Amino acid sequence: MRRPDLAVGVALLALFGGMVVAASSYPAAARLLPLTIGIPALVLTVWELRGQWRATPPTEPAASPAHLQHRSQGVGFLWFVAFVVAIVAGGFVLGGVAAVIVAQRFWLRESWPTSLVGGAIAFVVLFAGIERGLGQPLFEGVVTAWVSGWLGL
Amino acid sequence: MALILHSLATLIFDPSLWLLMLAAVAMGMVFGAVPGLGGKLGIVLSIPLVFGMETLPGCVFLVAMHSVVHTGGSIPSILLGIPGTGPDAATVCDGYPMTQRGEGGRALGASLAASAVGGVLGAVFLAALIPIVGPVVLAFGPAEYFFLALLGLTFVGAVSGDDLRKGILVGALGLMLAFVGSEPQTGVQRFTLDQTFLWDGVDVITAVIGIFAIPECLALVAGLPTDARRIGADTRYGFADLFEGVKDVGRHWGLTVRTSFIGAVIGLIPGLGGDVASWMCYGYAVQRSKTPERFGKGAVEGVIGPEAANNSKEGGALLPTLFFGIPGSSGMAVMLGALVVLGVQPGPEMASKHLDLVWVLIWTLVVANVLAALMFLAVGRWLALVVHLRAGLLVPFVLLLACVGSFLGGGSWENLLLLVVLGVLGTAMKRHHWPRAPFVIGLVLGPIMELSLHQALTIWGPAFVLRPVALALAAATVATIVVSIRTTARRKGAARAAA
Repeated sequence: MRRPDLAVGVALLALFGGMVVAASSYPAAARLLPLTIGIPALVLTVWELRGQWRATPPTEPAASPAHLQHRSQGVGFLWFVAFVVAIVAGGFVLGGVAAVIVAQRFWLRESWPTSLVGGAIAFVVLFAGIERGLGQPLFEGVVTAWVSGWLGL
Repeated sequence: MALILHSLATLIFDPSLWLLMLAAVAMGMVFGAVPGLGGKLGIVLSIPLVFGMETLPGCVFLVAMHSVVHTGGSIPSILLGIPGTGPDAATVCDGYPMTQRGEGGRALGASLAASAVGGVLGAVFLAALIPIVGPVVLAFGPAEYFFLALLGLTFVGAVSGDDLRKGILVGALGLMLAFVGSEPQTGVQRFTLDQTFLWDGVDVITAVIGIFAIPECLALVAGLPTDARRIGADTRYGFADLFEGVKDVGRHWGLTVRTSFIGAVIGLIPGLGGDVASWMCYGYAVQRSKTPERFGKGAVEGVIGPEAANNSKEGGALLPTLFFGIPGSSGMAVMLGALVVLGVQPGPEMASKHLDLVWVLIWTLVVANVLAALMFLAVGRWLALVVHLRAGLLVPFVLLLACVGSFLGGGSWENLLLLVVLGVLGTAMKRHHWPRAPFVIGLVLGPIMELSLHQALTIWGPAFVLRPVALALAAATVATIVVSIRTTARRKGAARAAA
């Protein structure tokens, strides 16, 4: 995207637009507030985007600290997505613990012993603390459930 | 009186509650001391811990933890010039210059004593208002709730920073997402995209984690050096230094009491929150000083004012949260969700049926703040080590607990996908300087506003706007909007003149 500063405005425009269109097909009581809020918000978003479009876009040199920080945040976000994927696939106890170890070792460059200790602590908190201690069943994971079923466990 | 004493006895004669409070106070201080975490995230991440607890211990744990977050938040503000939480930013102005001058211990002492006094006075303020809460609550029906929610929404302006338009848009987004799920009148499923996990609406916990915690957590990785920093000579201090700061609060007791009161009143008003309280009280301290030129260069009053307000506002903020179900701040919005998880239904019935719980929570505020001060005095020197934790050790656990909080809060693994979507939005908002607090205000107040509007229309028809209290609240709403627009215009004018 050439104007990343417009990203939030464009996302809001799409969200408000989609919600207003969807709300227009609801019964009167159900669409009253969504349309009362959504239509002015849509107009205000267009106004905001118009103002942002006309303003000089903020420029960041490729090697500036802010640019590097944003890049690091972007990488961090991809790791967060990987975290969620690992949990959805392997569940909290298996996928979550694996994600902690891998993230500590390969994202945050901790040593193997530190990463493994981190994983062990995560396992204790999740399994012994939350699942057993507090009796709260955690998500077992889509792949884990499938494998368990396949193995007849 | 018997109820008050019985509540105190319930709290202090139960060793398990003491242990819980000690753990909660320690956790709260850590959540405050680690930059980027803060009270909201503290509560969110504590939800897995209080799941399955009885109502009373769970509530005591959450209130004790949340009430002392800013006590811990002053540590990085004063020692490193990095605010632990948003409301601690005002403390940086004079706390960090004091550290640079070699008075870090004194600043920390002043901060902990002001926080303790502020927290206790906030609890007193909450207790003093309880006798009149009954009549006030009875005067509130659906019409008044609608206007109160509307009034709360107008404080979006106060938390929007320099850009009111962006704040309104983000608040509107929160409101629109509050309409996701079953419509209360017709039962129609709105904006659910045929996903059953959205039938109950967007989970507030997931939304708060996505919009606030994930961006802050990633910023922590991006902003902190990966090698461990150790405490240097400039951050060393002894008990005598801490005690000197404690004595400073005694020397400026008038300022401490007044800023505590202002903080509690600001906490009482839904949607204002800690940032407003601490900056207003910092401004008040400057305004009342005979030597305002010392501020910004290491004046101890510049630490006392915001720190007293930070903690006292928690007492004030509990009042609308408990008795009206309207959160006094975004932290209280998360607290509200957590209380519901624990089986407490905040609302008018708290004044009649659950007053014993309310009094226990008031005493919890008092005891937790005193405990935090004592704990700070005892381990203050070593607590400072927390701010030197490597991001690599901390961030994966925060992300994991964020996912656990989202899963347990929403009760479905699909909430993790929603967490990713909101995380993208939150990160973009943080990067492009869009205010995020209005989102939570909209999301929390939206359902109250919609339900009470339909109820008021059903009971009174359009004439509901003519009820006396409703009219007063409508007038307050209009006044707040006018003040907000004027303040923004004045701020922009001053910025233009400075440019």
